[in-house]
Amino acid sequence: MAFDPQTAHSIATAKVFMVGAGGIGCELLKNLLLTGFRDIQLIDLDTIEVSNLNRQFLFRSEHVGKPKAEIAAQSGLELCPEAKITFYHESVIQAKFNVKFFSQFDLVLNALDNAAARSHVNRMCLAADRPLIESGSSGYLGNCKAIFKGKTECFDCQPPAPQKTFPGCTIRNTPSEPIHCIVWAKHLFNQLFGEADPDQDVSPNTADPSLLVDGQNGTGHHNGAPHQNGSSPTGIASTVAISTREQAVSCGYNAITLFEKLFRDDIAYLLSMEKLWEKRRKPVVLDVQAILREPQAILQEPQPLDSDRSNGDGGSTAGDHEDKRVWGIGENARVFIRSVRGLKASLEKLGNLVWDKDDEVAMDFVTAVANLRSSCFGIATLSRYDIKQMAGNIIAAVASTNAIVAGFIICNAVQVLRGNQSGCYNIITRMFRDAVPATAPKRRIRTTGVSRLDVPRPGCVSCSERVEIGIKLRIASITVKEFEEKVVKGYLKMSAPDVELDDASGKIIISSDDAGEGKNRDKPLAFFGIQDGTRLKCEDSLLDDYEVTVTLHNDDHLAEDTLFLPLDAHVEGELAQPTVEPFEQAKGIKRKLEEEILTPGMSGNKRVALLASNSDAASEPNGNGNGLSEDVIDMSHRF
Amino acid sequence: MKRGDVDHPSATAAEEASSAKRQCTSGLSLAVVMEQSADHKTKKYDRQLRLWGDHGQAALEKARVCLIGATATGTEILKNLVLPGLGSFCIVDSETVKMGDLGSNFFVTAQDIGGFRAEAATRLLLEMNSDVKGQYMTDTLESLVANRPSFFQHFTIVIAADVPSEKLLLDLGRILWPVGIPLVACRAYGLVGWIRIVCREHFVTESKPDNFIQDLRLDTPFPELVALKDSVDFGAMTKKAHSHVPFVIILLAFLEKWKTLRGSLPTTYQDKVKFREFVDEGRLKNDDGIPLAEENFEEACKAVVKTVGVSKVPDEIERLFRDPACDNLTIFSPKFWIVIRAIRDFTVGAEGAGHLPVSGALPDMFSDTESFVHLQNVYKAKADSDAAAVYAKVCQLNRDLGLSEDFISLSEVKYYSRNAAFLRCVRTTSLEEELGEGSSVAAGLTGFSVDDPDFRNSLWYVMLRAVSHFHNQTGVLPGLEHKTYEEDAVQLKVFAQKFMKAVGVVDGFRELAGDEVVARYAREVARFGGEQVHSVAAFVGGTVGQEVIKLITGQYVPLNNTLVYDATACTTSTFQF
Repeated sequence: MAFDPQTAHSIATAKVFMVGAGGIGCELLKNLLLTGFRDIQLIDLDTIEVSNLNRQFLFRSEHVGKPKAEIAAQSGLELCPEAKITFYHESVIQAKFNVKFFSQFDLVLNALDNAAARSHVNRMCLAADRPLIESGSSGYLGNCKAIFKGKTECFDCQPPAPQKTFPGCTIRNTPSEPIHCIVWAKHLFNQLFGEADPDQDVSPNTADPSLLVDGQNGTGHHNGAPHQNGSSPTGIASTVAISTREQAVSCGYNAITLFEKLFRDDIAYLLSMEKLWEKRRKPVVLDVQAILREPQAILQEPQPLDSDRSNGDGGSTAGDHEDKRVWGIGENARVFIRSVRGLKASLEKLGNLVWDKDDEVAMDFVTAVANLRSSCFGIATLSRYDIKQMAGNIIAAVASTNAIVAGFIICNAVQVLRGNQSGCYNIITRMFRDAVPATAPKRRIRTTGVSRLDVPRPGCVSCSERVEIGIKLRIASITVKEFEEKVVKGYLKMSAPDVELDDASGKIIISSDDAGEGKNRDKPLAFFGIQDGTRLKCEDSLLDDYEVTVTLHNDDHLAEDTLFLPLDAHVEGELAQPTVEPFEQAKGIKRKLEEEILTPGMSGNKRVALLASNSDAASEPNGNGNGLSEDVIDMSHRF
Repeated sequence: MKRGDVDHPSATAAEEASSAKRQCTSGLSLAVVMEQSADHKTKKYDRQLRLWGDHGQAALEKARVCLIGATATGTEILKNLVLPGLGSFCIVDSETVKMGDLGSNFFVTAQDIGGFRAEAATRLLLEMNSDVKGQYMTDTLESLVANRPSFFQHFTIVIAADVPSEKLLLDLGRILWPVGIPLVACRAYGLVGWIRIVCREHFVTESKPDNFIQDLRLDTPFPELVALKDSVDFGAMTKKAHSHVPFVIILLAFLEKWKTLRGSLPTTYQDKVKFREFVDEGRLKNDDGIPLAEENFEEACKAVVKTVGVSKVPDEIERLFRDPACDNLTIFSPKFWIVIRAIRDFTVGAEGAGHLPVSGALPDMFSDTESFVHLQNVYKAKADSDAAAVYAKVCQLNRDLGLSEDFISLSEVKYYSRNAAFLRCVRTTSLEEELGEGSSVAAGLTGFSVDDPDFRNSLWYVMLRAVSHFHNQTGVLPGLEHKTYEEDAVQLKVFAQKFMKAVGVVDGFRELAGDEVVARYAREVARFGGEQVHSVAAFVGGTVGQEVIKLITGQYVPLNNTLVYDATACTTSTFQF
């Protein structure tokens, strides 16, 4: 027997909750059942898509469109009819999955694909004091670690991977890379056909800091900047005043009119902000009639950027598939017109649309819009295939990596059930890679990096006992909505926050009952009498016992694009300093790995005439003699 | 159960039809068949195409894999190959499905008990992907090896999962080695996994190394590149144009200036740091004399240490050039070696003048599109003309060898030429060398310390070898019977010690692997009782799946040659035996 009778008994009687039934989830459910687990609840909000079938083996083509949770449970029961499998086809971020719900399990297993849900489940497990096993995979990389409340590092102990975001001005006024145009195209989709987000404005931004004189150090004055909402300096009627959506509605979503607004008038308006173009290449306006008049053959000249690709980038050869051909400008214009018509029809039928990379028309629209905007700004245009990867944050995925990760999850799970915390590890796995035999012929390469679990980070906003933090912000200008979205939900990661003044009045600033619909959300914090030094009590209504006290520090000198800055968090009571573990290095890798897993898509996109800021890693020392091979250490740079 | 008599499991439609009796048809509904359009495949395989590309996928779809042993390990491996769209597989397994299989093997069901395991596994595996063809044989491995060795020669790769007999593995190895078919042997045994790759000669066309530095020929620019650089006049430019010159051009221009000033190019690290400052000085300044933030110059500075002075043939490629196979071409030489020879002739000859053919690929850089495209076209044209020169040499070699001139096509040569820096040849030892007399194992078992996970894993390896000897002697696996567990553990320890003596492990290893230590490992292995733990099979299945895909696609460098996995500590170690 590989497991002693007691362990086998713990496994057979354990009650586990599996969050996610996708790539890792399918492997995990199979592994759980074949390891002897018999009481499993699983949750997944997704339905099955064709692109899942290359690895999510519990699903078949006939299941496309059905809930993952249901089909996974069904397949699990076919494998093991005596097991008890309960499924939920819904989001785990809900009040019904409260602390009491989580408390019923002996173990929670994450098999998720997004940071928000990971963070939420992490908190629920901390609140319910239940062990959690966290995992992820991306291409040939994978990881898995166990989390014990108060004893080991939780999911939020490490600062979140820097989300690749772009300053609004770059997106709206001065794009210089294809990704800027792609982000803009997605925003435009939401403005025209979806739930409009005020943060995703697509019209020219007249408050661009680079309109300031010599805008490098922020001390300039508003000399020469056009008035907000005013008429433009060149006399062209401002397109800023009314929303993009209103304009679209008023012209009945006429594709030609929209084209002219987006790629002629708005560009002309940007051109009128001369300051912007002093050191930049000026954009050009597109003439839709001229473009459509030209015969297609001329417009579809071969694009050099689509041909040969470098070796290290996934190695696909170009031209094999229609999706990988870069469209000419005429084609982009035609696809734009066609997709606007298609989306208009869907909008009328279904109401507001949600952008989805797998929706053909929505993807066509974003491709055409991004490319047309790129054409205006002299940026390389890309194939639909590449734009899909960037717009959809697509992570490459294969069955084998998920199989390996799910194997590791079971290793950790069994140790948890045996009560053997020191037998649980933080594991990183990657494929066996080329060693450099000339310099190190005898070196043994490991395909896994294993480290002991870290101790909790003092001051972690999730797992410290009671947390007091300080935040710097502009009290006079930050709105309640911004504070809720970016600070309370974004930074403090609360799912349904209640925020009140921490004084005798206990005045409510944000209430979870309003669900983001409160009246005063567009008012600045100052409106509520909040000032420098005010303390706010923030609670997550989905959690019983999670409260953070925030002290606000006014700072009017924050950088333009910075909404707030956290001061160093400190915790009441003393926590042991992290001790140096023998596999210290694995931590750095883990961080890098998690960054790749959590913020995929952006890092690897290339063959573009621009950028590459994060490639300066060659000077890192190597050849360190402890524990892990260099092979593992260097995994962050490319995959 | 009927056994097919066809010796040639092949993917062609005609043969497929003639062996229809062995073909599993369940799971192939009409609807599924209709979906086999190219577009459907692109969608279904989208996430993996982004890893290995259309050409990798094409190789996978052509591949024929033989799996020996439809065990938990074996079926997990095939699952990881069937899902991404392997061409075809054939399972060889004479066992029937037993209760024990249900507990660890996903690809058998309770209804299959008593039936052939190969049949159940084939049927259930095929349900997952209608693009894949599958067959099975219920002959024993012994009889196939003894009576129909040619059977194995029709596969791209043979996988042997959980074959307990070393002798059988050796016999199989002796069949495959001479014909150059890779063999992947593996085992999930209790909480230990073992993987061994045996390939006489495997050609990698895209090694995809980490931290690869593109050779941009900055120190030895070719004439067209020099001309392009000379056409750029930094002095007579607008601010805007100045900040959009691609960093490659900046470096070329400043290297030339540096050389004029100093007489030589920067080669040492210190020189490069100084050169970086020199480049940084080249930024435009505003009226107050403060340098402007120019992104292209920032990029140029960042790139200095990595890209200046790297223009030489990489060691790995030099080694290929020196390989006897490159010198001694015959009419039987693989294409790989003919092309390597042509690339060598190109490199040492007048055309290459010491350089590999230019790849034509450029890193990302900050630039306006026009300048970038211009620059790219220069590199691309040079890559094309280099590839054409290599192709001329390939044609000549083919003629000299008595092969048809177009034995290797221009597009193939272009592919090799573009990937010249990424070509590798992997040769592992044979199983004969590891398992046979005069074993090569001892050399792999050196350089450990006691706390080293590699040492623990090497002991697991020793124990697995002891298990094979135990099985060979007794016909059963140790610890199978609870009442003989203690005896078996002692016996296993003796086998392990005998084994270490026989292969002649070095003194250092023998000291670490003292009596008590070996006894502890022997008890642990006896406790496994030959049981398969599914999560270990899952790990081995995932890892072998990746290695097989590497061997099929020629992308990435495969494991050379042994990996041991310890599921208790979650560690892996690789060894060269």
